[in-house]
Amino acid sequence: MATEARERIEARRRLQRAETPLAVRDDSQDEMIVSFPEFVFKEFIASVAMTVFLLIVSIWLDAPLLNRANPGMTPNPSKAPWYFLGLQELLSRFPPLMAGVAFPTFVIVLMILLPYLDRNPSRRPAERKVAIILFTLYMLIAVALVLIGTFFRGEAWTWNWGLVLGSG
Amino acid sequence: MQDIKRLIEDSREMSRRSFFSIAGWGAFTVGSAIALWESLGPPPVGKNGVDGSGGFLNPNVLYEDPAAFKAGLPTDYALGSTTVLTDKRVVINRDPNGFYAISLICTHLGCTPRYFSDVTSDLVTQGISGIRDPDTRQVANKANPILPGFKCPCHGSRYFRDAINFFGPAPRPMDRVSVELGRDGRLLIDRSVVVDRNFRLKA
Amino acid sequence: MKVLGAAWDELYSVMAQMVQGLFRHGLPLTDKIAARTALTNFFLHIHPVRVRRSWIRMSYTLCLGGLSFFLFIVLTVTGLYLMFYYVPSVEHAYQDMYDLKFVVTFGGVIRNMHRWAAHAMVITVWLHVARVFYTGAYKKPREFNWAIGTTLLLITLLLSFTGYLLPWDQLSIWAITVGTNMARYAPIAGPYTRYLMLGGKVVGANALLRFYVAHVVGLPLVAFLLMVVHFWRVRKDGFSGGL
Repeated sequence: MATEARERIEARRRLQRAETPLAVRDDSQDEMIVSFPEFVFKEFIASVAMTVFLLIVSIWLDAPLLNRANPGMTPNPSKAPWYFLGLQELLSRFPPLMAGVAFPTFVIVLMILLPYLDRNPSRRPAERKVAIILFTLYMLIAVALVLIGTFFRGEAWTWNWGLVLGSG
Repeated sequence: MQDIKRLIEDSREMSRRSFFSIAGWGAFTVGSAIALWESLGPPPVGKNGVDGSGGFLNPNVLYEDPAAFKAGLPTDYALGSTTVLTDKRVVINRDPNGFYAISLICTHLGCTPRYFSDVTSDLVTQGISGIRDPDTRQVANKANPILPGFKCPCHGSRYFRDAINFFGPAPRPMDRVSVELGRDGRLLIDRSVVVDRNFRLKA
Repeated sequence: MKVLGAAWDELYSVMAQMVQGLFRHGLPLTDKIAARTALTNFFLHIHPVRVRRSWIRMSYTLCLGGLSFFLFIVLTVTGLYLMFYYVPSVEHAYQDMYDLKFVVTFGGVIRNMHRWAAHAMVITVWLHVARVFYTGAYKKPREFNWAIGTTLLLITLLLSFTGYLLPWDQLSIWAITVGTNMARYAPIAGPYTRYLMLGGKVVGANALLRFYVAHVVGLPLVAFLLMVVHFWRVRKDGFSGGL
């Protein structure tokens, strides 16, 4: 934190003296191009690539469909879509008020307020180590929870190596 | 007091136009708030099911499966049996001292737990001790590792056969619901009436 | 022969007039005409006429925002197709999934595309958020656009969540049971919120219809409006490039 504070103060000072730019490179002298057709063409290529990719995946891979909904019988194990599995993992460990309500609300509010919490004006990666480390940690935890929920939770949500290491 | 005096003096100076502007915005805000309340107002669900009326988006009449239903004659259930009525999400237990019914809805997040004749032995093998049913005083330990009960597939909560939670995130035992003997001699179960844990229907 | 030639000239000039009425400029062969094209074309108007090369470097944007928007369009089109065969009722919903797969020409592919594009959109939106964070692009003067972006991420997840119930299979009903029960734990308004979301006490016919309406009209409309503001602000707050 101390390094971050020192870097932030230094960056603010530079902003006042209008010396070296806050970004890595000054782009004000970069070449100006006409967005049409060059930029539009790039976007077009990207969307065509995405369409082809989606078509191939959709032809080869069927969207999952289980049995008809039955309120009396919960499938075992019962999993949410993958991007909610991190939340489901938290729900199995902490009380629902915390894991299901307080925690997601906290994360969303934190994300919206981020520009006001991180008041370091510099955009150079070397000058915002703490911010980058914290965000990377957050992403890693999120990905790890999703992976655990997807691959390491078996029947009745018990820990199961078998799904990864073969029949366990 | 000084402030109020000033407010009155100020308001005298307020032109007619700005007065109408403020009044207009005020009426608009109040009107919008009323409209919002009428559309999202609290649901009409009281202690005895649906009564009164809620906002537009909260239905006053539900066409869901009725809470009360009949579940056959008492003699259909053997002594010491556990019967899962899957369609109704209800379990009927018959013990020597009577009948009781469990609403088979996990108290964590509402999934339907499943009945297993053994829900404890893997925990005992892992070395978890202190698995004890406070009502029946049954204990799962090395000498007697197997107890029947329910496991929830969603987040792994576990309950004894009498619906008391002992493992996982479930915060409390599953609800016991009312069982009566109908006039035709059949069991009448009402899922909307939660009863005490000591309730038994002698039959 | 002369008559034919005159008729051809007439036809040609009418067609030329039509094209001019449509486009107002020639083929974008020079920078000047290209700039005028971008300026006068409604659909291209989303871009500024001129950009710095560094703002649109692929290695900087990774094309993630654009791909998210494109996936939204794919989802709108495939979703519209699915609406022709899908009936949001407890009796029909599940059966319609089989109809799409076995009876409707390309029905299965359209449903698959809708599903996989939804997954892809969750990924691209998340990566877009990560990219914006790592390049520090959320900083002054783009704080407000970052807030809109976060809301759009939330709406993407909500769209996914509401779409999840529609096939009315075992996966659907239990994901929504768990999800709405989570809302019940919220202080004070919790149980009310659940009743409002489901239109009842259990995940049933009312819940299916409500999620359908939210999925096909409510949330996409909000998402579209926010996207318009998001893109507008990208231009007005200035591109973030130059890292």
